[in-house]
Amino acid sequence: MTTLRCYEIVHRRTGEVLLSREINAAGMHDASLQGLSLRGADLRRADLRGIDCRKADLRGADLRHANLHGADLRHANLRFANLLNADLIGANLFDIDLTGAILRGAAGIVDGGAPDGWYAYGWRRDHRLSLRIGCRELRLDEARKYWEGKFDRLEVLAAVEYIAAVATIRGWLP
Amino acid sequence: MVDTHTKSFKIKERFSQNTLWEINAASLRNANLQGVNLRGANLRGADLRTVNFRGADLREADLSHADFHGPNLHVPLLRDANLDGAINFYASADLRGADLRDADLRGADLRGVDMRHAYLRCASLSCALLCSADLSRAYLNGADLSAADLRGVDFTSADLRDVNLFEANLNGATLHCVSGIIDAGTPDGWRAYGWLRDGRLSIRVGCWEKRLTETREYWAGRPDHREVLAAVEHIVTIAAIRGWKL
Repeated sequence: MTTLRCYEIVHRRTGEVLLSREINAAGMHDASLQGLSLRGADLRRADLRGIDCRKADLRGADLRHANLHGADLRHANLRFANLLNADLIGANLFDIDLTGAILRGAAGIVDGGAPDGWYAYGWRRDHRLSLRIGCRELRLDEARKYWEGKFDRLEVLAAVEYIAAVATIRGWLP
Repeated sequence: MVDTHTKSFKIKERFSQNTLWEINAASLRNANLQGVNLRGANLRGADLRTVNFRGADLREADLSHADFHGPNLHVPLLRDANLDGAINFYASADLRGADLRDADLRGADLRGVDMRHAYLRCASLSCALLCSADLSRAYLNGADLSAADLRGVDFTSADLRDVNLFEANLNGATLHCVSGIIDAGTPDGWRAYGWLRDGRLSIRVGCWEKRLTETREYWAGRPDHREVLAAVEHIVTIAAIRGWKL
């Protein structure tokens, strides 16, 4: 027999219940947050391993120390989310919006700052480094090729090399 | 604050209730409080949008829930005002677009205050508490933010050129499109950025604030902090692109 329990996600400031669901005892691993509006949700230390968060609205969500290992976050909105010490290893970060997000201590992502006013970060897509700068998601060689020769984007090129350097330190690059 | 018998508007001291200033009007609309001593005044919840506080002494005043939202971006509102130790701004005062140039806000509690588009040129914000304040698109050129608590502040598109950030805490602050700072992300889990201190590059990594040569020396022989060293070199590259003096 499957044990069901109620799981509530509340707003980090107001305490308002944003989502209430009955889930099985195994946790939320097979649950789906796809496309849900969880703006400002309190998800501190939440176990969200492998969860489907595609297109979820997680703006301003408190995800400190959350376990997002292997989560599918494609196209999710994480603007101003707090990801302090969150585990993003193996998570799919394709086309996510991390503008203003706190990435301090987050694992599985290289924070490249904001060169030329655009957010820059690196992550591992299919075990290979992928770089996101502004709205562009490119592989390292593609990124170098794309930004090289753009003299008004020298900071971006510097960020590409910075992310590559950190990725090398972490053993993401051969 | 409105005396219904005399139809006058009085500003009282918040503890003694002594009248500090009085006007024969029902509100403070367009009032000129230039140079007035309003120390400890009770201005809680007051509509101060069109009041001229230039040079007024507002130390220890209660400005909670007060509305300073300027009708335009550069109204001569609180210019030169002394707000040293002004209390109870906490997450309530609306300072959007307020003109606070040269204002003395040392040690002021401005946590969570909405200061979008505020004009803070050369303002003294040393040791101020600005946690989670919204300073997006604020003009802070030449402001003193030394030792200020800037955790979680939204500086999106703010002008931070020539600001003094010595010993300021910028953990979790948003530095998107900020001018005057080189953001190098969070190598090894520490915030790293560069800025111009006295016209020369200064690098902050975690709680360490050093010049370039000192920074390189300090982080060079630490194999467990190679990301920091990479960040330092990234900051140097960007500084060179911007033509900053190293």
